[in-house]
Amino acid sequence: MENKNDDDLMEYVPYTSDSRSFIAPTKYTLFTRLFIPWQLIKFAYYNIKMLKILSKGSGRFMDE
Amino acid sequence: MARIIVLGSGFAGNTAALNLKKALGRKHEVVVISPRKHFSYIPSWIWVGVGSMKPEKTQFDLTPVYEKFGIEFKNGAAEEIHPDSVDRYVVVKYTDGKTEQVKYDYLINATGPKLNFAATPGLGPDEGYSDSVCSLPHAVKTRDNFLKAVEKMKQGKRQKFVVGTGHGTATCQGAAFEYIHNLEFEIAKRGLRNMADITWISNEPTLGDFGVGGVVVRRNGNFISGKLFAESTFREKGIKWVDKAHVRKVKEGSLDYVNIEGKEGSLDFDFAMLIPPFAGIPISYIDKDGSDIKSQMCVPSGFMKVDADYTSGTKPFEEWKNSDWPKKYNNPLYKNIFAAGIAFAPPHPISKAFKAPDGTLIAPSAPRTGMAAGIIGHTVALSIIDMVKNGAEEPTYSASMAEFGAICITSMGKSMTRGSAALLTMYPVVPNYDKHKFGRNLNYTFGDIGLAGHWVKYMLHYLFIWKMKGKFLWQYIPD
Ligand SMILES: Cc1cc2nc3c(=O)[nH]c(=O)nc-3n(C[C@H](O)[C@H](O)[C@H](O)COP(=O)(O)OP(=O)(O)OC[C@H]3O[C@@H](n4cnc5c(N)ncnc54)[C@H](O)[C@@H]3O)c2cc1C
Repeated sequence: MENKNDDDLMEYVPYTSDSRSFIAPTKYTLFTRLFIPWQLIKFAYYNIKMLKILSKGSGRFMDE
Repeated sequence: MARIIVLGSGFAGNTAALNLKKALGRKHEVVVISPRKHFSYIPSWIWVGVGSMKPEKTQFDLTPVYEKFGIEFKNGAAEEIHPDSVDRYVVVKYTDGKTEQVKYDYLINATGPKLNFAATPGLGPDEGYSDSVCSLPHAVKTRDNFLKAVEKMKQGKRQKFVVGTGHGTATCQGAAFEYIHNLEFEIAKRGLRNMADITWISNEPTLGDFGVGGVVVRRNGNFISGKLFAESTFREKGIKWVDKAHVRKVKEGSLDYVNIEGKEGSLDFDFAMLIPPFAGIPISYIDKDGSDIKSQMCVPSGFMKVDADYTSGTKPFEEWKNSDWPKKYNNPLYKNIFAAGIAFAPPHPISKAFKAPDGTLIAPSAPRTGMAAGIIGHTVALSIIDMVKNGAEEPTYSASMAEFGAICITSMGKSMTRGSAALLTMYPVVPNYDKHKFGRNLNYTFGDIGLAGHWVKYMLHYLFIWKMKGKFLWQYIPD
């Protein structure tokens, strides 16, 4: 990681419209996004999520 | 024997053709008419446009696939449809200028979009000053221009990049969003990030709207709006943004815009990739007297009318209903003509439409993604199979965008170890605020960012090309 601290990650100017409401990833979040063992688990999880949404159906026979 | 003509060999057309032939066998004819003999995996063109994927990896020749399946392929463009002569037929024009009349019993229009660069003066790579990733030649040209800008940065010349939508009614914000992140990723990878100013411009009413009215997801015990989600990715990468904007004019090195509040502005650029609005492919519809009936068959933008409630388009956002959306995709005048994928006319946008004080419409059009195109192409094929085999008088299968979901994988950098993508699932595509507080079922609406998302995106590239080639077990790969 290039950044020393979380607060190096983005510019922050108090009392601007930008600073009033925002979310931005912390260093820890950025680390987990690329941490391969964790991402392998996520890969499996994503596939289950996708299958779940596909199981909600696409084309259906209309029986009315 | 029935003859089914499929116009177009993209996600919708190819899915329909393969399913039709598989079910109908040799007893019936399936004919595909398309000016391009390749299937293109369009979602990967955002990688072609930054030079991280070779163009040839995104397409393959359909001729051997259709030979194997016994599908007749006519490599030409449909120019006219004659839907009520005794012999219903399509006029096809080949590249050598010759034309042919091809008869049909059932017709599927899956011709996708015409890229309507002319809607904004100066837009587009052919006659304007901006780039595009909406066709393969455009994506290749965009890559070359991007790499030229990279070279300039290497020589110490600061570059301004603008990416987004080139008109108030454009769609495909997701593709532009992927492109801007990949552009940023490629620049950062080369150690040149401090030499680039990157700006997003879009017609979305807020960031993260994506033309689907935004998405709310549940994360870490909070409900989070797509706006925060999209914003956080821009903040993280130092990308500036302009939203609610209609691009009025693109000039050499700058563009002018107006926003919903009527504020006018301009952005300078060295490189701009702007998605054009879409229109229907220009095809004439001629009745038995030789009169042009296009206005009865299509909406003014040229997309084909299907079983949607088009009167709802004149109503305000608050009165839009899920039942406005089509289910069976057959034309109201001709039961044997269907439109699938981008070719069908949606009843209205999904996102709320706004107007600038001078009346300029700023309303992202409803996206019909590759997944939706595949689902609709498949559904239409199932209805035709039932009509041909079992004599069903009406289409019997349904798939409404208000009832099925979508999986969107938004690439944010292509690398197997350093890349990432945002995985966004939503159910249903068209939000239903009567049924769900946030418009969608949050058990199936989900968003996350990370390397695993990139692996999924990469996997889907190969999986869909496998499916579209009709290879072993293709029919079990979901649309
Ligand atoms: C850069 C980019 C990235 C995208 N990324 C994603 C993504 O990640 N996920 C996703 O789900 N969607 C994505 N999309 C959207 C997706 O590509 C489209 O939704 C999908 O291609 C629509 O399929 P279709 O079959 O309706 O049209 P198309 O795929 O455009 O196919 C149209 C077909 O019709 C043919 N045709 C044209 N004119 C005629 C004529 N006159 N006669 C006969 N045939 C004709 C064409 O040659 C083509 O074969 C992206 C789009 C773009 C531009």
